[in-house]
Amino acid sequence: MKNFDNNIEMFDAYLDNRMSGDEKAEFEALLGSDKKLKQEFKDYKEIMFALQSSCSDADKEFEEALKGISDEDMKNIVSSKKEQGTQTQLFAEEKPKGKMVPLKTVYRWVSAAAAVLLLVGVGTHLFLGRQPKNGINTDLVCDNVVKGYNFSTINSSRSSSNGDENEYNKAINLINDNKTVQAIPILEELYKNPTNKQMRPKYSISLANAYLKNHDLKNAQRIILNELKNAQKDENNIANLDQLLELEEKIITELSNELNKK
Amino acid sequence: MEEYNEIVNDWYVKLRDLFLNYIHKHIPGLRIEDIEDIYSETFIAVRENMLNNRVKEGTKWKSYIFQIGYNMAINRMKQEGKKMEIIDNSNDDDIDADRKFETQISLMDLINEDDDKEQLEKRIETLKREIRYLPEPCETILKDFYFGGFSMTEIMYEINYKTADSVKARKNKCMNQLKERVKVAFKMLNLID
Repeated sequence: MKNFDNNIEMFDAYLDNRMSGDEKAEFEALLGSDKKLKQEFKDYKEIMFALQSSCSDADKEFEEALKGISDEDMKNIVSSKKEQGTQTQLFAEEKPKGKMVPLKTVYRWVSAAAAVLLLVGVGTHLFLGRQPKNGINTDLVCDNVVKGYNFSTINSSRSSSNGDENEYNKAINLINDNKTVQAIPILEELYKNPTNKQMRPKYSISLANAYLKNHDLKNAQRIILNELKNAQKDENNIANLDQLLELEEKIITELSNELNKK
Repeated sequence: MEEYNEIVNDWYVKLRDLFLNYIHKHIPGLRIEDIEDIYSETFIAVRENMLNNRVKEGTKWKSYIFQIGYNMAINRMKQEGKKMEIIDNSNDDDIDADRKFETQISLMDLINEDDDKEQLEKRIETLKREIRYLPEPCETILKDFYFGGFSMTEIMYEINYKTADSVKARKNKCMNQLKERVKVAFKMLNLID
C-alpha cells in the first residue's frame, strides 16, 4: 500500500475512493486485524458525518433565511457592510508558518475563539462535576498549567500608580509567599471593580492563575470565560486574548493528557 | 424575520474576507474596491437565483456563492477590457492539492451490529456541538474540504496560506485537535470508556 503521511490521509483516500483495488483490500485487512486502527477509523467517520451534517444544517438554515428576508433588509446588509469595509485594510501581509492572515474583522476571530473556549469551558465544568467518577487528578492539571506563570508586581514608580496597583502588588506578594487564599479576594475585587478598566485584563489573568495555584479549576475557568465574553465587546481587549487562549489551551492539553493516562 | 436577517448577515460577514482573498488571489487584476462591489452583487444575485428557482436542490451555498462571485469577477474584467490575468496554481505534479473530497458519509455508514444506536446519536450530537465552535482557520479548512468541495489550493487562496501543502498539514492538525477535544467531551459525558 502507498505510504500515507498519517492515518487521516489514509482514511481520506479510502473513503474518497482514491485507493486501488489492492490497496483497498490491504486497508480493509488491516482494519480487521488492528482494533486500534478500526476504532480510529470509526471515530473519524463519526466526525466526518457530524461535520457534513452540521454544514448541511447550516445550508438549510441559510436557504430558509435567504427566502424569508425582505429585499430591503437584504440591501441593507450588503450596503452597510460595504461602507464599513472600505474604511479598513483588507489584505494583510501573509504570515510565515502557514498562519492565517489576520482578517479585517478581528471581531470575527474573537467571537470564534471565545465560542470555542466557551464550549471547552462548559465541557470542563461538566467534567469537573464528574471528577470522582473519572478519577482525574485536577490538582496536577492545575499545577502543570500554572507552573510556567510568573506572578509579577506592577512597577509602582510610574506616575500612573494608584490604589489599585498597590492592592494588586499586595495580592501578588501574598501569592509569592504561598498565601494565595488571602490574595484571591483582593484580586477578585480588583477584577470586579477596577479603578482603571484597562487594567482589568491583567487582573483577570492573574486571578485565573491564582485560582489554578489554589487548585480551583472551576473558578479559573469562570474568569477566563467571563473575560472572553468581555473581549468580544471590546476590541481594545484583544491583546489579552492570546494569553487567555494560551491558558485555556494548556488546561485542555493537561486534561487531555490526564485522560490519556487512564 | 429578525432571525433571518441575523443568519444572512452572519453569512455575509463570515464569508466576506475569505471571498475577497479568494477572488483577489485568482484575479489579481481586480481592485479590492471592485471585489467588494462584486461581493455585494453576488449575494443579491444568489438570492435572486434562489427565489427564481434557478438553484439546484442540495446546493452547497458557500461553494455556490464563490462560484457566482468568480463568474461575476471574470465578467467585470471583460467589461472593463482589462487584461485577464487569472492565477491558476493548480499543478499537474501535485494532484492532491487540487483534489476535492466528494464522499458523503451517511448515518448508515456508522451503524453496525454492535453499535448502540442511542449512544451513537448522543455522540453525533456532542460532535456537532463541538464542531459548531471550531476555531479558525480549522472551521474554514475542515468544512470547505470535507463538505464544500474546495480543493487545498482553493482553500489556500481563501485563508492566505502560501502552499497547499501547508493547508493540508493544518487540516490534519485541526482534525487531530478536534479528535482530542471530542475525546474529552465524550469522556465527560461517559460516552466512551
